[in-house]
Amino acid sequence: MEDSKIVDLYWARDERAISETQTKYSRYLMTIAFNIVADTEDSEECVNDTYMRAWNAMPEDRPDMLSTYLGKFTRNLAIDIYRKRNSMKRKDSEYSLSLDELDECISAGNTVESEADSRLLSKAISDFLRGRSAEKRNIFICRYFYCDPIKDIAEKAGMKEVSVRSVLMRERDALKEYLRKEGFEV
Amino acid sequence: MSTDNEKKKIDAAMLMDSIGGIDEDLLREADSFRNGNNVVAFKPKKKKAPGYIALPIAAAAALVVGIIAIGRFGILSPKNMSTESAAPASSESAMYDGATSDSAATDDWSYDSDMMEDATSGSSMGDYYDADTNAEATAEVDDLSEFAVDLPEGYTFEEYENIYSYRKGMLILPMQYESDSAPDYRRASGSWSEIQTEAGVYVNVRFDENGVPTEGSGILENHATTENIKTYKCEELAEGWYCIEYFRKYDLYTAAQLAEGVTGDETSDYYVFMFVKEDADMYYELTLSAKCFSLEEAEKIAQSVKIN
Repeated sequence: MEDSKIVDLYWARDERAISETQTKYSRYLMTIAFNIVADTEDSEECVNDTYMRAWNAMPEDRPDMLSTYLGKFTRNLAIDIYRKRNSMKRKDSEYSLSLDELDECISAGNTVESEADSRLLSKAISDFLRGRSAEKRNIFICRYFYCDPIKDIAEKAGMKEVSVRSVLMRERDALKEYLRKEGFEV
Repeated sequence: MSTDNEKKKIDAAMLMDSIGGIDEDLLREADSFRNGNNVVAFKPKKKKAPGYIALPIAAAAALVVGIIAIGRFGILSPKNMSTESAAPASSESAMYDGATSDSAATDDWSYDSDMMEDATSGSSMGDYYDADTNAEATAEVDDLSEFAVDLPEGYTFEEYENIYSYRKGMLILPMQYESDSAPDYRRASGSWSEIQTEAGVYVNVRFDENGVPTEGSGILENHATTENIKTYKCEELAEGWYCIEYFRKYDLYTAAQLAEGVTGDETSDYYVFMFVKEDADMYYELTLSAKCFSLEEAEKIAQSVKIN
């Protein structure tokens, strides 16, 4: 079913919206969640909560494309679950590996505390990414938004894993420089 | 009191959180990349890039593409076409190589960040604009619906001159044929068009009681001959969409011009994929030059079409 028709179901408060969303996007959302929480049960919880979030958000919202709209919910929910479950000891997942990589971008003693600052940071990152080539941009987003494994990214990009790592390292450096120029303390 | 280590972790986590808030069009592009697609949903821009910036970049783009094409493939030559069968035999393409890494798009190209800003602002969806692969300016197209199609590297979109009221859309460049009189979309590597379903005599699409297009449905165009290939249900699109596939030859010259003598191609030949659905407001048409693509290659590209 087309996204627009699924959104219409949400707006009409028709419960088929959930089943249609499930049919079309469950696997996609499960992948996002699993990359972060590395646990099937937790992933299922994230995805189910995503459907609930979407149900509550529409009407009001009318997304153009459901995949990215829902993907954001799932990602946020998965990160929350990851943090709750792993507050004492960090569990290995692609999310934790990505986090370690991004550590290089940020110096100790710098926090972005308010929600407004976080939005500014998101905008700055978007602007940075628009200035990159499509390949670098996609590799960056696959790693740090979707938390895709390096191996999968390399396969999609038709590159070796070492090349993907190299691209990511250069992009992190470039992001750090960009944020610095934009007035963020890094 | 948090330790420096804990504070450091929070910082990286906040960065990860902020990455979660990046613009949706960037996510769509990455999503398409993850699905193995080459070209993302393209929404034509409302603004035209400044000509003084676009022209030298466009010239540079054309020069690089030309150098790479000549260096890799030699002089481009038209494919041998059978004029006897309805489905022309495919032959080796002089240009198509979907797997090649040779491309006019390299990371070493410079670009104008101000043009990027102009090109990408003002749209709620956001515009996919890769400065390295789309260095030439894109033109204004009002109200063209979102679509996505996988094209091999080296092909780009540009608005075509809208000389017919019932259709509008984008050229797939580079141009392939010379002609003093034929419209641009009949000379390019291909085209993507929106066709008004209520365009009277030009649009001749009928459906049976099951919503299947009837035999002979299609667009009636002057100076063109059409040979039907097949009609099939589009599994990749939403319910009810069908594809009418045919081979079309456009006259590149009038009879008078031919009588005076012309060199080069007399017709431009295209595989045409027309996407239709009963009660739809618009039909969509993808054309791909038989000079660039075999039938099999063209069909594969047509299967990648997504209409939002």
